[in-house]
Amino acid sequence: MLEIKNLSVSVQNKIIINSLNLEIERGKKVAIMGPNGSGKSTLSNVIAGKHGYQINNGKIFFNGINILELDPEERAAKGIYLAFQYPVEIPGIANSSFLRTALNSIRKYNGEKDLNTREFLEECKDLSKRLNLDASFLSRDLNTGFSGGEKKKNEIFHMLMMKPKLCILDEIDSGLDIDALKVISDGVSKYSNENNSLLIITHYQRLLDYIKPDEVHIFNEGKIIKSGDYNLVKTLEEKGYQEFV
Amino acid sequence: MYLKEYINKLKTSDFIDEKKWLDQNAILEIISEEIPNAGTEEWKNFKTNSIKETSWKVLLENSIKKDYIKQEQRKLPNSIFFIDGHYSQEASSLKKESSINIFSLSDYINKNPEFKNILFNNPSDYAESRLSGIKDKKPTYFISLNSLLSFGTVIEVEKAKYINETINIIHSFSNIEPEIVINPYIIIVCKEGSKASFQEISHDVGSWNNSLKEIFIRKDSNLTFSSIQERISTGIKTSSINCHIDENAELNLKVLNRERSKEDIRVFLNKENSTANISGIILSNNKDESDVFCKVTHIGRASKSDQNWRLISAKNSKTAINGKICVNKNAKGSDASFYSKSLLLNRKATSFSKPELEILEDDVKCKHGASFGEIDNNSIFYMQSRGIKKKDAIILLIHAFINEIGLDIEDNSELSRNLIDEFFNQINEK
Repeated sequence: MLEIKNLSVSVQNKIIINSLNLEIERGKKVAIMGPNGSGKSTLSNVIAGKHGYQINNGKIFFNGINILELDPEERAAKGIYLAFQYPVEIPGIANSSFLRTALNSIRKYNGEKDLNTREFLEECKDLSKRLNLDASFLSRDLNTGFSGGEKKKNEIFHMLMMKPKLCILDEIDSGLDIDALKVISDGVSKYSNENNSLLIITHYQRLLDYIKPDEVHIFNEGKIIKSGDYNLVKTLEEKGYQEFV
Repeated sequence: MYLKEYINKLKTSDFIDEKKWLDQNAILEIISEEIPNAGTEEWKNFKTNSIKETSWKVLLENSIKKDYIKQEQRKLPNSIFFIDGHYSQEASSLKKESSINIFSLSDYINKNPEFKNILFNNPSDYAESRLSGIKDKKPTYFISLNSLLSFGTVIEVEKAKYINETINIIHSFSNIEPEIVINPYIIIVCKEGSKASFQEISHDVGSWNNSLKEIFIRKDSNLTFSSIQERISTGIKTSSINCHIDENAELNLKVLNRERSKEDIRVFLNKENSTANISGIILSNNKDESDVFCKVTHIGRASKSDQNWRLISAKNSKTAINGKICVNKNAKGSDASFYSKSLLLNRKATSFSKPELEILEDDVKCKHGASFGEIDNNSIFYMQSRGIKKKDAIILLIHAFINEIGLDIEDNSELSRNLIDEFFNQINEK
């Protein structure tokens, strides 16, 4: 589904990602772990299309198309979703209204009709209940005044509504208590199936205990320094990054 | 008839006869006054060159084309129409049972002689609190032109009547000639215990719309007044709103101004527990200015005021808000706030915000704040990553910026949304 070939990225002439090769197959859950500043978030931003990064070399293919030429919204329309580490607060626009605008934009891009408002609202209500979110959550301004946990739940809520093909979770577990982590993991598990893929970026084992990735890569200085299966997470938890870097 | 000629004629007895209430000295002073310029504090953010350099023509009531009245007639339900600045009963469509009465100012004064005292006695003492004003300080003489050029229309809301439906006040123009100045002069009186909502919409102004509103909100009454500058092509808007609020009465004033506009707002919280909530959007584009001066004076005890402004400047334009709060002696327990937020869409765009406090009493609460910024790139990326195009994301963010103060005006939120879209499309034009 996603194929990164020999990707090199720099910011203000400092190399952040260095000749990276990574493949994520359809239906797979792939985790990237690494110390602070290793380039994990840069990778997620580059896949999603954020400006400000200099692509020195390489390509990123999504279902056979090189997406480096596409704008972020075109990537989203093709099925790439980024759950933000720090979701932005936008006062003045209601959560549900934003989500409907986003979904309709994607539908328009793909030549589909606008959403049926009633069905959309019913699905919203049903999902928010499942994620333990208060009903007022839909009418509140986008992420404004949300607690850290609510913001992360909202990212998962958007993901479940948007049904992307590839979901990148950028440190979705940071700042969450155990209960919120469980709710989010349940949400991710509901999303995950043989037709979509997950790229999980995290520092910690606990999220991966719930999601159980198929592949684990340890990232340092912009490249993969060790790959393995779920057992690599346990080794990492015992020995720390120092063992690998 | 040219503006200068008209004002000069006011000096002659036959003209002044219709305006007996006018102070002859005031006319003379206005004629001798120069149009203010950047040298005066209240006008420093608005260029008056184009006003100075033009030979303006005044449209008299009898020059309104009959065909135009027919064309405008009852186009919008529940509307009070002003054509070329003059009230048109034929074009208006107020329901008979609306509890609203409309009078010419002279008829209203004949019916309510005490009103003449309120408006015109002791002008030197009361001047600043009315016309901004005939006897006001020099910088604002200019706005009081309307009271000379128009005979005034009084809109009265009956005592103890609650009007649920918003009433439209529409300004339209029969004459498309350039260099026309129109001068609507509207007085709104909300009698005791009444509640009403007015929405004033000015259609495209090809020339100069110089309007004056005087609003009296009597004891226990509540008025929402929204003023929307719908579109602007080449014209200029100068406007003055004066509000006088009595005991337990409340004003909700909402303003949407576009480029080449100068608004002068004076609110007087005259009695105990009087309240004013003022919110506004100030937009500007190209090389133009949009400038608001808003002064709230707390006179009554425990009076409350809140000013909340959003300014958006595009291209090389300038937006400005000068928000002044005065708390007079004896206005104990008053609570006042001013907040403005400016959004700059371009590195060359500018915005000016000047909160000013003048507090002459202890035991009061006052706060003010102003912030300036650009559209946040992280917010744009967040929206794009959800599938929203960059241009749409920016429009959405502008709407969000404005929605923070909830200026969606009664049943007409569509109108304000369209205005923002139109504004954005304009600034995107190459």
